Amino acid sequence: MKTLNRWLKPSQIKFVKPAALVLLLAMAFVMPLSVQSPYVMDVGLQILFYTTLALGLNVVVGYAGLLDLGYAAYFAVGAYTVGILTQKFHFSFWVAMPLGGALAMLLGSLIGFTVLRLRSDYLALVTLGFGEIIRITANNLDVTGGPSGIFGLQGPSILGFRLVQPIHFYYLMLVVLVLSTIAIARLGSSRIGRAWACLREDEDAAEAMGINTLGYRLLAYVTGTFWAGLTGAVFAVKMTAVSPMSFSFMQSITILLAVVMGGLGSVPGVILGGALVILLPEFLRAVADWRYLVFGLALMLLMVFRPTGLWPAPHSLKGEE
Amino acid sequence: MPLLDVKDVTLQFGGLTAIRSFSFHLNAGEILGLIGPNGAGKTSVFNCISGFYHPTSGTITFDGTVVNGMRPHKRTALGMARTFQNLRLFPNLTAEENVMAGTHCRTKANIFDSMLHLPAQVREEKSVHEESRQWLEFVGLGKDYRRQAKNLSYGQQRRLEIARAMAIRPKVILLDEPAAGLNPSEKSELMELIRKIRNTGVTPLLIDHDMAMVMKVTERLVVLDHGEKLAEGTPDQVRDNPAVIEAYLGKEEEDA
Repeated sequence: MKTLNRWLKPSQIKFVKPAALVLLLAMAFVMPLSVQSPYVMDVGLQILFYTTLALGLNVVVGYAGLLDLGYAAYFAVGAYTVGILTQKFHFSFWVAMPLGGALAMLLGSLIGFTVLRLRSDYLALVTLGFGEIIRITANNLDVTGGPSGIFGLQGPSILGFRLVQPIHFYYLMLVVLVLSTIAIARLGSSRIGRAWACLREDEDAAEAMGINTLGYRLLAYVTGTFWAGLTGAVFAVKMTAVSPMSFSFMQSITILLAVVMGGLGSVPGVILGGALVILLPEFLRAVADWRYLVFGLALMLLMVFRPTGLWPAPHSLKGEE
Repeated sequence: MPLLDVKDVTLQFGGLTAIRSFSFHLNAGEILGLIGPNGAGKTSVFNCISGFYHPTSGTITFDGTVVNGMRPHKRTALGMARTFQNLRLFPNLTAEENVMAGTHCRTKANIFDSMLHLPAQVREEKSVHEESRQWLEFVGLGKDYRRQAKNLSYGQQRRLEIARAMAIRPKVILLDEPAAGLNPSEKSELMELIRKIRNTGVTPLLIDHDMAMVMKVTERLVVLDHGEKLAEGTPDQVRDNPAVIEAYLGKEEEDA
């Protein structure tokens, strides 16, 4: 903000944020029309998936401060729900998609209700365990197609227009991402978001303020699972297949990385983080086998020099003033 | 009927008895002080009242409801606010947001209202902001609303904690050593603030070991020592009570 002050009048500064947003959105909208490369298209889609997932996880980790290491499990639940319902039971995708979100929430509430009494470190371990349980279960059940998963999923259709090309899913996910961003940003600055912030800051004091701490932990956790389920649903039809390979522990870590790297609790930060966890390894393809090493080093440097993330939530910034 | 009635409360941690068969009551509108030397069990009594500890036996009745076994946030909803001995603010949140937390138990917006910005939610948010500013003004922090709690001075943090508790609009406010660490001028400001709180219709219950300060502001005192009630009465009665003098100063040597 200080550098902006040098170039612009105060009356102009307030237009910077909306202008930047409109510009970013316009770029995201025009990108697939101007670039014909399937590679760029695919990277763009990956970014949309990961930013949406990171936004959802941000509710759990950033807003409420609950460390969840098994987030990919709910992504899997959404994907498998759509896979099974559309292929085996001939449900419409548009019915299966919200059901995917709902089932993820149902499972999230069952798991959350039992484990959310635990404090941070233990919670991280238990969620890690559950994440693996879901993946291994999917790998072994018949209904989920075992290790080979479910394949040959049909793209959904809107008013007779069938979504098949990556570009169709790109725009579908762009709509999901924009709506998610609005919803999650609004949540963060609401009464609910403040209750989560209190919980994160000091649980006993939050309880003394009349905040049902257990209830709000559960709410944060389950809200997060909804986004994972929803994104998983779209992911399934875009890939036309669901396989247990897609929901490994590394997935959970990558999504968490996007949240931490961008800035816990910061919506623009998390979107930036989601883009970077996809883009950085792609740019680093030049260094071939070394790319994850370089990526790891970059992360370490980031945590040393900017522990609050690249685009921290406003509170963590104010502390430095 | 007293606003708060503590009856025969005993609190044991394993073999240690922190509070033994302790009873007292608080009438609406009075300023009551709970005093006693360090380690007498004052904070344990507070924690039993506010629900952070659960007494081994005895009953606690607040405003006609037996609150035994009730979780702290439910007691807050009944109109019980508290501060903490070692300041428990939300350090990274602004002063205003800290106070807004106090309004949580009275406001209603749910997750859908919040995501959709429904008109009722927008109105509620506006009034929450306005009210929080008013409570900050009330404790003299009106200008500091945008500062993070951790960046306020110690005395300001103490007052912020009171503003946050007042935003609950409680019937009773439990103040756990609010004067700890304050300098003499801050202490006298605090005493003014406690009177001001009572004048708004909220009943303060004050814990402190600083006799001189408590004597000045309270109308009735309960003295606790080694987890048991030692004395009860007006500040003057308590001051002259030999048992209290002994607990505070030790036994007087007989003159030869």
